[in-house]
Amino acid sequence: MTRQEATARITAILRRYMTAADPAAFDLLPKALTAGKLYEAYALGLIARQLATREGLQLTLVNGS
Amino acid sequence: MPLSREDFVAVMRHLQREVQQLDPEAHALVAQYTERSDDPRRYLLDYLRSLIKILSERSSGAHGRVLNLLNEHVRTPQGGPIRGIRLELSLTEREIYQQEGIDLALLPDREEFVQELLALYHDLNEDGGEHRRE
Repeated sequence: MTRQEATARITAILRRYMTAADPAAFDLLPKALTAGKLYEAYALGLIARQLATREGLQLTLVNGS
Repeated sequence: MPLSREDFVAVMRHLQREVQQLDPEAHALVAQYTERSDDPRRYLLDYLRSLIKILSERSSGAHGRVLNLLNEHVRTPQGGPIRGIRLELSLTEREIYQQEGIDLALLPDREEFVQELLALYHDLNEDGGEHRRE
């Protein structure tokens, strides 16, 4: 890959997708507020898998739906 | 021909400029999470990896995958599956943003975008730079 190819590819990818706006509900929210939240849920899912498969626990979500 | 140190610096500068122009807030977050390095190739790859991570978290595609993972082993008190992942705001945040929480499934699906960035990351990673091929 050349420098020109790399920069052209970056421009093409970013321009095409980053202009797709977030829904109105996210307009005012700082992105820092939501950053990492899905990752936290992902980590929780991995822990739940370990607890269920290795420890034999049955897990119930409290205060959720 | 592999990219030179100057090439990696130029590509990095271009990437940062583009992200900053299109999404200044994302750029600030990515810069915060990217480890500083004297090696421009390493720095570019770390910046791209942070960008991919942050943008994939703002994709409903990632929401679906995480939800599936949770539902493998967790049930609601009624025995059903968890239907969504929602971020509850604090009292002050509710007053400021005029909403009680954020449904993370409402995010646009940016999976294709994330996959293209990942492909770019792998291509750049395979290009070890000219000083690495000596």
